[in-house]
Amino acid sequence: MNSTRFSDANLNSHTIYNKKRVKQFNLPHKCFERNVACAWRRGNKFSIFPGSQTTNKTIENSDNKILDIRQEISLFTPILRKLVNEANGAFLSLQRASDMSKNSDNQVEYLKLSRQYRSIVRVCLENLQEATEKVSDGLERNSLQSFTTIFYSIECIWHLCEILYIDVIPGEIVLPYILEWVRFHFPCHEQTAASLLEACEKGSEDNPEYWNAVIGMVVQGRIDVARALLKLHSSSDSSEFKLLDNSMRAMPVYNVYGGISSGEFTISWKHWYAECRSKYTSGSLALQPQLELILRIMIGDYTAFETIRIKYTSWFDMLGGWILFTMPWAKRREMASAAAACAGLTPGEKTHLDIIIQALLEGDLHQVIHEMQQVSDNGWSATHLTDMLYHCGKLQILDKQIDVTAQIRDSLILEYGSLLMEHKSLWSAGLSYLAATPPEGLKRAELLLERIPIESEAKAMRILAEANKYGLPNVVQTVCGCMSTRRLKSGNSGAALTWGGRTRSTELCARAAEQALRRYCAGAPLPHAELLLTGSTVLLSKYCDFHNLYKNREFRKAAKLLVSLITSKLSPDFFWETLLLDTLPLLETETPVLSADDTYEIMLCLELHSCALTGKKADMLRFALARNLERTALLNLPDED
Amino acid sequence: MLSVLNTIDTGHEDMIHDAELDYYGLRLATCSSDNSVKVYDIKSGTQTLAADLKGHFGPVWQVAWAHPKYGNLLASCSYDRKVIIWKEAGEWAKLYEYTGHESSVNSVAWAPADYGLILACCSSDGSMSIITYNQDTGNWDVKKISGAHAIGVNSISWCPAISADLSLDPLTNKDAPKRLVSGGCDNLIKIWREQGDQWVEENRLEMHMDWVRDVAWAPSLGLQKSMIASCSQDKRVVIWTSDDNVSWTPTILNTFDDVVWSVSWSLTGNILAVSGGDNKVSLWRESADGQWQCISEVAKGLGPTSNDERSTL
Repeated sequence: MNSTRFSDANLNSHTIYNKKRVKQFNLPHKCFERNVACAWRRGNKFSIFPGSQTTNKTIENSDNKILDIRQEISLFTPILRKLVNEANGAFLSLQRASDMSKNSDNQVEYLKLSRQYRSIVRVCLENLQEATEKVSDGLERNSLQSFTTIFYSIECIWHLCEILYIDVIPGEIVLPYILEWVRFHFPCHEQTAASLLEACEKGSEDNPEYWNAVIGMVVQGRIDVARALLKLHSSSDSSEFKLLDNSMRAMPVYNVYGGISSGEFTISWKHWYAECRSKYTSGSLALQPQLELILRIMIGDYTAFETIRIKYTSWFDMLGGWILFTMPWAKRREMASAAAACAGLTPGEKTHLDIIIQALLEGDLHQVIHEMQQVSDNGWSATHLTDMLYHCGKLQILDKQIDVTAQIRDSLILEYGSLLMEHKSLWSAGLSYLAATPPEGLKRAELLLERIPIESEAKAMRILAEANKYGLPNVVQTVCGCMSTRRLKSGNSGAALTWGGRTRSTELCARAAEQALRRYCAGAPLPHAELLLTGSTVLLSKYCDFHNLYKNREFRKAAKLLVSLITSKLSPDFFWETLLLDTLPLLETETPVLSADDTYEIMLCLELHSCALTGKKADMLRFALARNLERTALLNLPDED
Repeated sequence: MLSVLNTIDTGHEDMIHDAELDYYGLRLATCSSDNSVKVYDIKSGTQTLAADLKGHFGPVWQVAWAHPKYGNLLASCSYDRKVIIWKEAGEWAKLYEYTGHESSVNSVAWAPADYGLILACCSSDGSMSIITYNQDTGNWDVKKISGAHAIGVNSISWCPAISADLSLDPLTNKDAPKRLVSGGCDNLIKIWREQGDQWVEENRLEMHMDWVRDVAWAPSLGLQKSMIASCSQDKRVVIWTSDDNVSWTPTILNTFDDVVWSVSWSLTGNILAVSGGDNKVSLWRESADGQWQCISEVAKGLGPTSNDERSTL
């Protein structure tokens, strides 16, 4: 898939090596005059170094520096943390909602979640604005402002997308929603209009913004406000003003629940339109050019819109007005011509936002997703919006007649999830995205999760918990293996054993148990007996039991256990000395605890392992054994239990 | 937008030949024509020299980190015909030295950790060695594949454990055969499979018209597809794909302006980095329709670039 975060994503281009699309990154050092090589790190990080596979002594050595290079990830800015986390919550709710509605339509739930996403963006914008006001550093302010711009655009796109594809609109008549969208995102002249109305003075036209405000209200479809403003004009009683006011008042407004059919509405609207048109052609407003301009706007005169275009920052400002005065009955699938007309008001190069809005109106979601990937939010909006549209069943993208919709959605989520995996605390959120796109997501999760640096026992436990949650047994094994090895290296064989036990690895446990015994021989204490649960650690485990029995003065039981350890021949060579010497105090108890048979067994082992115990110690043991034999030969020791 | 996080001054007195990051990306090992291997800790954006390993008597070509579950182990190979395995136990020290080759050892690679502690290496003497640590005896057992590639073997790479046999369920294929890919001076790429206690040549892939410089088996994503990238002095990079690990289909990724020295896959195998004599590193990825696209290029420059490519819509 081609949803790269490194540079331009290129969803629909099939050219193999389109030079223009390749972003070239120049290294900030004058190095690597000869040969360069690259080594990957976790995630989208790698190192570049002046590597070579040959030796060439004639070349002067360049400075042997290694550069660590990574993609810049703006989403990891602390102020956006909340956005990332909350969007994760909404994303997971959406997956659940979609799982539950496999058989039924769930548009209402989807709409709710879409609004949740929008409110997450809104909260983020408020935080950004608040932070911008406080910050004094110019560079930081710039970056905050650029985030603000980005998220304003995302909010605007998402809102329109919601109207056109997610919301439930009665009769599909989209005009009131579009007008609301324009008013919300492009509030223009609203303040002027409000202050003029509040002052409520005749002769308001002295205000240089007066006409802009009136026309602004007309274009936003706030006809009542425009009429109220016109009443404040000093000559509002003139016949021209009355003529226009009549037309404005008479304008039919469609309402799905208004009790008339759209057919009837269309007839009355066309009638009104013809009337306005004849007023214009008769030239009755010729003496009042501003009023005439309003009338021309009301009859959908394209040149009138061209005239006022300059007063607005974008063509979106006029979209609502254009639809209102040319096709108020339009359904949401019929926005293409309006989009083309309004976009045509702005000649010259189009911005990403221009392209996205137009594509949305034209229903070209493929283009929308393609352009969304260029937004510098590291795929936040492209991923979540695509997933939303996918679940709503509104996304259908064909590539050479093959439906690649699910593929595109999956690849965006995979990339976004992998990206979060790179962060030191967002990785668990990243996992939840990867888990939503099996099977590749889980495989990626496995590769990335294993490589999260484990700084502490607690971190290791968290990784284990997540691995278990998503059913990744390989990760559990790897983490336990690494932790066990690490503990072993630092001489903590008890902890090493615990880690081995967590993944039920006989190999790890055996290794740790052996070290524990060796360290005991060297004078270290034994690990806690509770740790010793697995079969391969029988010797260590039993030996611990022996110690406990001895400590509790249950000498008879202790002696029995010790003899069974000796006769079982489980012991590695290095441990024989310890085992044999442990019999000494038991041979010399007041009442004998080792029977004659036991004593013979011990004698046999002592002679079989004569290299394990030699010299004085061996003699001492032989002597004790002989004495014990002497006092038990004719004695039958009672068996306990 | 890419940015330089960090610059590490290696202090090597001659050409660097390889740099590898450990499993967690926290340590960097480098090796050089100055005969030394160096290890740096690069935690939290700063780097400190952790070890300067001296033991080779010729340029050191490549280094490789073992899986951390075996402890901190590093293998290095050199023109001096030796492979050295270094171990950190408090201090770094030589753990094992392998001297079974008659010429420069060009590449070392640890097997997937699931197989145990196994190292493969290849040499200009045309042979390859598989060195296995025996847990019970504490010895290193060696199996040698002689005459693997005429004139010399330049590179080897292991097949990931999970896709060792694609027809098997990934969770139960512990006994799937081990595979290796090698590239050599006979312009060939060969796939090797372990069979009993032998390594047999399973396949030879012909496409390159000059020495094959590097081969890299892509990490497996649990998909029913295996991928190998190869590059050559013929200036081409070829991607080989297979869905059974037996029959392979080549696709030419691109023909470059100069010799291509190395290819390496990112951790999840979604991006391939290609570097070569044109002093550039280019990053490639496959699109939905199987086409390979270059997405970024890193090249030498004279100063920081002012063109901030952040798009704010």
